[in-house]
Order: sequence, then structure tokens, then C-alpha cells
Amino acid sequence: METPARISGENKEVFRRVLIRCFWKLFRTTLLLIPSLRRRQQGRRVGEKFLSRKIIQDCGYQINADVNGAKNILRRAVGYMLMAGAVVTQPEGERFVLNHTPQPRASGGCPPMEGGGHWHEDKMGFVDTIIAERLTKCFNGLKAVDSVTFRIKSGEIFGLLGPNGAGKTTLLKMLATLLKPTAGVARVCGYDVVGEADEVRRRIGIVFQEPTLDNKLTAFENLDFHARMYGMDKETRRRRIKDVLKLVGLEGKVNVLVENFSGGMQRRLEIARGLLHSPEVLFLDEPTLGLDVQTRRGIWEHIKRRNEEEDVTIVVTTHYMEEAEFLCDRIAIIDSGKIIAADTPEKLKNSYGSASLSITVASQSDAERLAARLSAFGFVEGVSVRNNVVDVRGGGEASVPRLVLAAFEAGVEVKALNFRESTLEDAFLRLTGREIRDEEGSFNDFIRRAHVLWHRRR
Amino acid sequence: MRARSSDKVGKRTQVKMKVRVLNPAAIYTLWLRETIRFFRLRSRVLGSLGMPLFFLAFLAFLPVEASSVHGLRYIDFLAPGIVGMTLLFSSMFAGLSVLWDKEFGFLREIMVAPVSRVSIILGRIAGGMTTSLFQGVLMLLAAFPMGFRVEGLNEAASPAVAVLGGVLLAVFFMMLISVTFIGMGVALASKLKDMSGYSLVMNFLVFPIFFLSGALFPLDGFPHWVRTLAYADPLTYGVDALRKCLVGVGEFPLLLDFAALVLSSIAMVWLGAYLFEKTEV
Ligand SMILES: Nc1ncnc2c1ncn2[C@@H]1O[C@H](COP(=O)(O)OP(=O)(O)OP(=O)(O)O)[C@@H](O)[C@H]1O
Ligand SMILES: [Mg+2]
Repeated sequence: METPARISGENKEVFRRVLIRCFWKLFRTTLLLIPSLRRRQQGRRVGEKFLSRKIIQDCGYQINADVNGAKNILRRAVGYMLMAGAVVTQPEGERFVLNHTPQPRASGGCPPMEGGGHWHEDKMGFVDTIIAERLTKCFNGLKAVDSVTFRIKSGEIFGLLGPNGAGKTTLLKMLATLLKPTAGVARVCGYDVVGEADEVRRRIGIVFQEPTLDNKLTAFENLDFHARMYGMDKETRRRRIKDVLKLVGLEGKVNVLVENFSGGMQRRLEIARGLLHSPEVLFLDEPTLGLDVQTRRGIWEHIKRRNEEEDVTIVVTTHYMEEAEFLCDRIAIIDSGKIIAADTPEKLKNSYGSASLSITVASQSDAERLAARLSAFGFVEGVSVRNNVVDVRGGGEASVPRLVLAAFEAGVEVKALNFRESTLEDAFLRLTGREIRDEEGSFNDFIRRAHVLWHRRR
Repeated sequence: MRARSSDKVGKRTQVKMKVRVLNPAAIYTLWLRETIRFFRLRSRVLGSLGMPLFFLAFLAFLPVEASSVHGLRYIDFLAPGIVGMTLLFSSMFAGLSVLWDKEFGFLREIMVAPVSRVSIILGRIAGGMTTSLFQGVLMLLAAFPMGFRVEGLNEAASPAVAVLGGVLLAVFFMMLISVTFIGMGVALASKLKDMSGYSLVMNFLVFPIFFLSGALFPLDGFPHWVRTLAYADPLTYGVDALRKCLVGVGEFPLLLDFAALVLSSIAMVWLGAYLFEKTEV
């Protein structure tokens, strides 16, 4: 059924070597079950990284292969090349076509790669903390995540915004090793999310959208379970649990069974648990859903602080524009499984949002007269009339005097002015094209949500 | 740049541990959770002990003529069988509790932890074994007021050695039985999507396993095909071994029971681990 891997390129020798490395690694993974061999293997890891890096750097190549074909090996090979800064140049159906031109190795630092990739002296020896390339997940034919490609830098706070059912949770779960991608490659902290899932798990923390607490345990027991699973010693456990409980304001409820918590309290406990250990990457799936304003603020600030002080890379999905704007260095807007825009909040607002001015005049006829006149301006993107109010979109704050002056010239009396900055929400609505998704999927989502809330309440 | 990244490493010493295939701390953690939950839900314990207890109580009072099997008093024949039944139900339940975790989301918390899947399975087995052993022993104790007497192994030197050795060996076999069925439960739970498959498993798998095992009555007089099926049932060997250890009478040699149970427990744990590894949550 599966198409065999097809490799083509200028330098077949190099491919042979990359693939041999990957074969060897796979072979060794099976040997891993024997403990005495494992120790020896650790020493080799360094050499291997070096080697694969060297191979990639040494030569120009083009890889042309079906990643689903010989899954493990090719995913590994493509992953290495991605980490080395290779970029996809031509989408050719379901195939990967990677292109890469060699750069001379400068002594000391690492030369920048073409196409925006960099060498990066991370402790893994590679740049971006998260690399996703053509990541796809199908659920019985439905493409929940559809060929998504992005990179997240170390220490960045990256937001995912999208309507219900856009595929945010599915994407996070793939990065967190809980779902296996149908196609594509993803690497977190330099490790493949499928082939090296254990290594990835050691480095990440996640707060899920749905409740994942054990209702029959107390708050303390839930946190203690988590801390022990992450291998914390007794002293650290005690200290950290106290800290995070204080952060979410649940100190008084340490020994209360979780089933007796309110929905918001359970949510807070869940966040506390996500912050308990110190991951390199933190995934937050709608972290502050259903929380009161004070708690939300506190949690935002904590997240920011963790990001700044410990350099944690954070990926957060949210429906609150305010939250996205406050937290995120970069925001990706995702709809129907595709990333349709990714940029800083500022740039998103400027490129896709628009400021608007509402001018209230004396009567509807005045308003229509004014509207006709204003639509002649070049910077105006749209004019609409509601009763005696004219809404003008486009132009910034600087355009207000000109518009008012135009009204004056037309002999229309201006009663009131209301200027609104361009917001992320505008950009979001413009990009996703609707306020609330109404498709057949929405009913399922509604049921899912009701189910979640029902569980949480219990 | 270098200095900064090494700084970063220093701060993250907490998650220093390697992901080992066998992780005793994690196994202990999972065990701890299972036992805390078990003793917290007392009504569940009582509920799960109810059925075997009633079987024991009612069947123990069968009329005397029908109550002599293999030259044993019926209560002596029955009690090890009921212990086997208790172990079957409680172990299956422990294995299937993966489904509960799936339903309530806690499985996600377990699956995303940096713990090898093998250790997760072992943790569940350790927890399930403790709780079902507890219930099995409780059931054994409950049999005494009904007239059950431990004879012990019949080849032993002195009666004291026979009883002590018999009981210890019985506990060992109880462990093997529960490992087998926890493995089976985990395998099934990994395949099932949610709780709706639970009653299907109970009615079409657990009850046949129970009746075929000869826990309540010997299968001597049954048609050939029924007995063939019974030989494929791990619980048959489990119950037989318990009888041999506790009252000194059994159908097969103890070594055969042992071999069959070891084989079945390895097979089931392997199957459970294999299917569990592939679950997506
Ligand atoms: N386990 C599953 N089986 C089948 N379909 C699924 C499954 N999980 C998600 N889907 C579908 O995949 C799509 C994306 O779902 P996902 O949960 O990723 O959306 P989301 O962006 O997180 O939405 P929300 O904002 O509501 O949380 C939806 O259409 C959903 O119905
Ligand atoms: Mg979601």
C-alpha cells in the first residue's frame, strides 16, 4: 500500500549516509530494551548529532521523498534536515521536496541558512524549539489539521487563535506526543514527536482543555502524583506544591476532594499542576477558560514571568483576544486545520484589522450625503450608514481631522465622534470570515463542550 | 550565547531523570494512586465483594447428596473457586479502569508524563494486584465461617508446613491469576473507545471465563467441546492450583498449572502493553 521512499538528489552518497544513520538508530532503539547497552548508547548520542549535522552541512542536496512511505526512517531524515535549516521549496502533492544549499562553516558561530533557518547554539545544537512541517491529522477522512508548517523559536510565547473546531487542540496534542500525526514531521526540543516521544515528554508540560484531574483524589494528591511522575524529590515537591497552590489561591483547599471543587477551582488546580514542574516547553490549551478576572490576571502574569525568567517556550491557544494580545509574541490564526496567518499581534492588527470612526449627524439624509462624500477618500475602506450614524472603516487616528473637515465642508453638522482602534478581533474576524462558525461541525463541538462542562461540574 | 544556554540547563535540574524502561518511582506512584482510590471508595469494595459472597453463602448450603465432589465437601471445593472468581472480577475491573481514566481524562495526564509505557502498565498491575489480592484474601477469610478448612498441600512433611506452604503458594497463584486478567483488562480497555463496551466485555467474556473455569462445579460430565474450551481458559488452571494448594486436591499437576498461568500472564501483559502503547488520548 505505502509508496516506498524515493530519494533523488545531486549527492546520493550523502543520502546514503543519512539513511544509514537513521537505520542504525532504529536498530539501536530495539536494543534499548537491554539495559547494559543503553549506557553505552548515551556516549554515542553526541557523536551522532555532530555527524548528522555535518552531513547536512557538507553538501547540497535535494530530498524528494514520500514521508509516509518508510515512516520512521524518512521522518528522522527529514527531521534532521529541517533542523539544519532546510526549507520546503515546492509543494508537490503529498511529497516533500526539500531544498538546501550548503554554507561554508564559519569558525565559531553558525552561518545563517537560506530561507530564514539558522544554526543555533541551543543546548541541543539546533535552533527552533518547535518545528512542524506539513503536519496533518485526519479523523476518519476529516482533516482536523491540514498540512501545517511553522517554527517556534526558543523562549517565544506563541498563540493559536481560531474558531471552534479549527484544530488547535489536535495540533497541540500532536506536539505533546498524544496523537500520532497522519503525515508530516514535528520536532520538539530537537526530538521527533513520534520516534523519540519519551525525550519530548521529558521536556514539555501541558494544560489540557478538557478536565484531566482525578476526582477521587484531593488537590494535594493530584499535584503530588504529578510531581512524583516527573521525578521530583521530596523537598522540591513540598515547596513547589505550596507555591503553585498559592498562585491559584487554593491553599485552603489542599485536602479537599477534587469532586467537591467548583468548575473554576478545578480549572485553577489544573493550571497549577501544569506549572508544577519546570518544562522547556509549556502547552496551554485555553488555560483561563471559565476563570474569574483576578485569577486570570494572576495567571497571565505568572506565565509571562516564567517565560522571562526561565526562558520557557510557551504555546497557548485561546479565544480571548485580550489574552492573546497580552501574552503572545507571535500569533497564528488557524481555521479549518490551516494556519492562515502568523505574525506579531501588532502586524496582524495593522495588516488585517482596520480602525473605524463613527460620526453621528443630525438626520439620516445628512448621513447619506456625508457617506457618499467620504467614500471618495482613498484611505477609506468602507462606509456604512445606520440611521443617523456613518461608520467609516480604514485610515488611522490621523485621518480623523480630514473626515471631520469633509463633513464641515459638506455642511453637515457633526453631533458626536467615536473613534475605535484596529483590534485583534477585527483581524481575526476578517481572516476567519465569521463571528461564530455555523457549519455542521458546530453541533458536535457544542455537544463536546456540554460534555466537558458537565464533567467539570461534577 | 553558550553561557546563557548552560545557565538554562542549570535551572532545569528538576526534570533531570532519564526516561527508563523500568521506573520504580513512577510504578510506586501509580500503585499509590490505585490503592488510595480503592480504599477511598469503600462502597465499591463492598459492592464488588457482594456477588461472590452470595455465591458462597447460597451454594454452601446445597443439599448434602449433591455436595460431595472429588471426595471433597462441597464448601471445600467451592471456596477456592469463589476466590478465583473474586480475583477474576476484581482484576478485570482493575485492568478496565483504564476506561474510567479515559472517560474522566486522567489517562491524558498519565500518558503525557515522561514515564515509559511499560512502567505505566507495571504500575497499574502493581496497583490492581494489591487491591484484588486484598479482596481475594478477604473472600478466603469469609469462607471460614461457612465451614471451609485449609488442608494444605498433601505431599508436605508435617500438617503445619502443609498449611503454611499451601497458603503461601496459594497467594503466589493468586498473584499470577490477577496479573493475567489485569493484562487482559488493559488490552480490552485500550481497544474500547468508552464505557459503553464495558457490559459487553462483562457478559461475553468475563462470565464465560468464570463458568468455564470449573469454579462452581466440576466440568467432568460436560460435552467434549465445553471441556476443550475450559482447557483454553486460564482461570481453569488458576482455580485448580488454588484447590491444590488449599485443600490438596486438583485435576492437573501443580507444575502444569504454574506453567499455564505464567504463560498466560506473560501473553496478556505483552498484549496489554502492545495495545496500550498504541492508544491515542
Ligand atoms: N478524537 C476525535 N475523533 C474524531 N474527530 C475529532 C477528534 N478530535 C477532534 N476531532 C475533530 O477535529 C476537529 C478539530 O478539533 P479540535 O478539538 O482540534 O478543535 P479546536 O480548535 O481545539 O476547537 P475548540 O476551540 O472548540 O477547542 C473538529 O472538527 C473535531 O470534531
Ligand atoms: Mg480545543
